[in-house]
Amino acid sequence: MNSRPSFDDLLSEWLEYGPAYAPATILETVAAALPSIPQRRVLVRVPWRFPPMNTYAKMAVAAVAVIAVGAIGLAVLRPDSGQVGGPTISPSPPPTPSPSLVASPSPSPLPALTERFTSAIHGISVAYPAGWSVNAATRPWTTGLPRTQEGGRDTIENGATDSTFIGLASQPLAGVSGDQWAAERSSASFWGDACDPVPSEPVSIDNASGILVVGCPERPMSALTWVGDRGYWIVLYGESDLASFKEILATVQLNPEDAVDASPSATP
Amino acid sequence: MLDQDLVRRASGGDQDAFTRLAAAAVDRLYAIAYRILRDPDRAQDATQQALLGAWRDLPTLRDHERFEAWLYRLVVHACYAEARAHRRHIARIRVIATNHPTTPDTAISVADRDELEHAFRTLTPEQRAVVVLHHYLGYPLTEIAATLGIPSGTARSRLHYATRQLRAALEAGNRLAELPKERPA
Repeated sequence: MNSRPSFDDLLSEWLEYGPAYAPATILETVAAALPSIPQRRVLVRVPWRFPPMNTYAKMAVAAVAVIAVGAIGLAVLRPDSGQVGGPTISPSPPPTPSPSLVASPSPSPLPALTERFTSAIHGISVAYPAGWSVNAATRPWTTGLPRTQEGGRDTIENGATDSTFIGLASQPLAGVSGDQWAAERSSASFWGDACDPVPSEPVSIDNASGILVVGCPERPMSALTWVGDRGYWIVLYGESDLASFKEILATVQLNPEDAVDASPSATP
Repeated sequence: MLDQDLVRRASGGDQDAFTRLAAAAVDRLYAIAYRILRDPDRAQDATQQALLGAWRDLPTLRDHERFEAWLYRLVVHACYAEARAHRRHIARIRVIATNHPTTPDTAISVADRDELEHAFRTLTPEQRAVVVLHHYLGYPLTEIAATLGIPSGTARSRLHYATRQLRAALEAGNRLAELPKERPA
C-alpha cells in the first residue's frame, strides 16, 4: 500500500531541503564591518517589566488612569475647545444617515497624518504619517493592478514596519460608469484571487462617490472613487484597522485636472 | 540557547561577544533567509544585513531573553527589503544548485518539489516568512505573530492563504501527472 504523506509533512520536508550552513564569508564580512558601525545609544532606559504590585496598588494606578482619561476626554470634548481641523473631518458624528468619512474617535494605530503628498501623475493628494517615504509613480496606470515596480502607483511606505504602505493610482473610466469601473476593480478576477468582497461599503471621498472594499484577508483595504471620467484607487496595505484607513481617506483631495494620462499610442 | 551574558556584553559594545553570538546564530539565520528568498546570494545579503542591524540596534533590545527571536525578526525584515530591492528581477527565476549538504527524503518526489518550488515563488515575502517560521522552525502562530510584530489574525491569514496556494499547486501537478493513467488502453 502506498500511503502518501500529508501536505504539511511534504511542505516541512521540502523546506528541510536546502543549505544548513551559512557561507563563511558572512561572518567574515560582519566581523570586519563591526568597528566601523557605531551602536545606538539608549539614553533613558525604561524598565521592560515594572516591579510586582499588590492589589491595592494596582487599583490605585487604575483609578488614576481612569481619572486622567476622563479629564483629558472632558477637555477635548468641551464645546469651546477650538476645533480647527480640515473641512472633511467633523468633530462629532453628522446627523445625516448617508455614509460619510468621519474621523473615528477610537485610538488609531497609525501615527498622526502630518505630512502631505501630491501626486504628479494621478491627480490626488493625501496626508500621511511623518517618517514614511514616498515612492512616486513614474507613469500613468493603464491596465491591471497598479504596481510600484511598474511605476504606475504612488507608494507611501513605512519602511520601519512590516511593509505597511498607502498606494494611490487613477485612470480614465474609458467609457464605463464610475460604479461599473469600481465594481470591476474590486472583483476577484481583477485581483486574481478567490475573494469577492461583498457587500462593499459606499463612501464619500472629497465629496465624490465611491466604495470601500474590505473583507479579503490577503488584500489591502482599498477605496475606489470616481470624479467625472476619472477613477481613483486608494489602498492601505499591511494595516487592518478600518478607522485608520478612513482617517487617511478623510484627508484625500481629488484633482482630476492635474492627472497625467498615457498618450493613445502608449495605451494597450 | 544563546548565552545571556554574551548578549549583555555585546549590548555594551563588546565586539568579540557579538561575533560569538553571530557565529552561533548565522547558520540558522541564513537557512531562514534562503528558504524565504530561494536564492543563495540574496540570502547571504539578507543575513549580513540582519547581523549588522543587530549589532547597531542591540542596545535598544530591552529583553535579552528575546535575542534569538529578535534576530529572526531582523532577518525576516532583511528578506522583505531584499525582495523589494529585487522585485524587478522576479521574472528571472534562477535554478538553485542541488549540491546542498542535506539530502531530501524519498517521501517527496522530484515533481512535488518542483511544484512547491514554483508555487512558493508566487507567494509574497510576508507569506513566505510565515510558512518558513511555521513549517521549518516549527513556530506556532502566536510565536510567529510575536516574532514578526504582527497580529495573530494576520499571521493566521497569511499562513492559510499561502498553504492553500501551495496545496492547490501541488494537487494540480499531481492531477496532471496522473492523466495518462486514466486513459483507456
